[in-house]
Amino acid sequence: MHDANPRETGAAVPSANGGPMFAVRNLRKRFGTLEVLKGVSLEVERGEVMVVIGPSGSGKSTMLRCFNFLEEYDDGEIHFDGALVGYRKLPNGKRVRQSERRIAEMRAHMSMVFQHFHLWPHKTVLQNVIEGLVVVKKENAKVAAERGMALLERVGLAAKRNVYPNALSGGQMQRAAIARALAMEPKAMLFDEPTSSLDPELVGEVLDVIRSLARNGGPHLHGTTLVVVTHEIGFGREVADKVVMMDHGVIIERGPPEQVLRDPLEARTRAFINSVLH
Amino acid sequence: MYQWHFDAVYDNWQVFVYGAEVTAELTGVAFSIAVVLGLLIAFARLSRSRLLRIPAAIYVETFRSTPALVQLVWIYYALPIITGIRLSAFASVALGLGLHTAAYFSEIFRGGILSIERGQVDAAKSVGMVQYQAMWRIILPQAVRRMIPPFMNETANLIKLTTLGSILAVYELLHASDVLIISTYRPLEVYSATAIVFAMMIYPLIYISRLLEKYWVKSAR
Repeated sequence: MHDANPRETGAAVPSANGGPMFAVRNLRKRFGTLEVLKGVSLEVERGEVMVVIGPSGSGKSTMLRCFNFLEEYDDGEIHFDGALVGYRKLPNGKRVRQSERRIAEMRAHMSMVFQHFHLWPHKTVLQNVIEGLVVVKKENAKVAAERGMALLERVGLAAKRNVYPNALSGGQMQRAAIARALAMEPKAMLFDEPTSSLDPELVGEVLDVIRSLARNGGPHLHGTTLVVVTHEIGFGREVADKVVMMDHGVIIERGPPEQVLRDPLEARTRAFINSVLH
Repeated sequence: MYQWHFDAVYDNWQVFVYGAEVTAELTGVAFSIAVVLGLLIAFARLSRSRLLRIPAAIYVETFRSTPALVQLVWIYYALPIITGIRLSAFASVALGLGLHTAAYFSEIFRGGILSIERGQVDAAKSVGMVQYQAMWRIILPQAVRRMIPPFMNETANLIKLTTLGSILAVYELLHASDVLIISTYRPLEVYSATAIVFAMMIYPLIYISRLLEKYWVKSAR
């Protein structure tokens, strides 16, 4: 799969709306001596749903965490909405880490949903949802509460607004986490294996919520870009615009779900999907 | 059969009150130093900069590896020789115990902060919070709850350590009792009363600590 088609190698292909939401070029990341990302290039168009699959250790979660600079990448570039993520280019061509404030400002336009939810246990569900609005966007408390309630309605947790996370099921916690991510009205949402920690019977309710985000934005979204790292192949088939398969730190296949998830070109992709679907 | 004569205690109750006051003053000064210094050292040890981390670690291990009494007499006897600063016995004990307890407090603070799982901070960062916001809104509120039991415990220890002041003739409760015994010849009754007065000062702290623990159980750990 070493063709030179620019679409495949992730070279810049201008889109209708002024550039891709994410443009990744030759991304490299090491943990100590272990190179986890070995030169990854891809683009996520505005409003696109990209699903990333691959075995554990393939680097897909690390790549996602580089998008919002929770991990600092070592080489290559990530551009979010046209701006370089995490670094500032110096006139002499070198680059230096951005200030914490700049990075935080960028992150306010991107939200992440984590495998282990990471709701804040000392705050109620509603408080969790609006914390970003109140602290980062300095939103008025009343307005924030109203927005928070609307989001909780949307994910089906309105009744749980004054409950603490320790009283929720896994599926409810993840839905609350999604509402929290939505509260910031992000340009892009990143999902890091959102259902991998859930009991099987709870996976569906969370996928339903993500599916509804993908399909019909709604008043808070206006075509939010979604990047979802997941093992849920069926979900990918339904919802993805583009699928990327990673293994050992590189992308080994990319394309529409009909190809990658149903009739992949690469043997490794085929083997992986078969193993996940048993 | 021993004849208990508690009039030695009843007739001299002001001695116990005065001694307890000095104990409270020593504790107050040492505690204030220990909390402020403990916080600074804890954040120094958690800092990204080696310039802060290493001296802080040396401080903590030094004060934890030497007995409190040795630290006190060192400040009282050795400090004037080395630096020319001569502190009163009271000041030496208050300062010494403050420095000593700061080392232990800093470990409690640091441990509490580190015990908050990293994912909480990731979630805070991912909605756009900067480090100090994450620390103030997310980490500290949870960490403080976890710190309370060991913190109260260490404070109780501090009160007990003030008795070391008697070695330097500071007129805290134990020393006051010693002096009383010299004039009344009733060590059993006097020391029993001393123990009871200490318990009256220390037990309420432990009780409050338990109450706070229970109060905070209603919201998640």
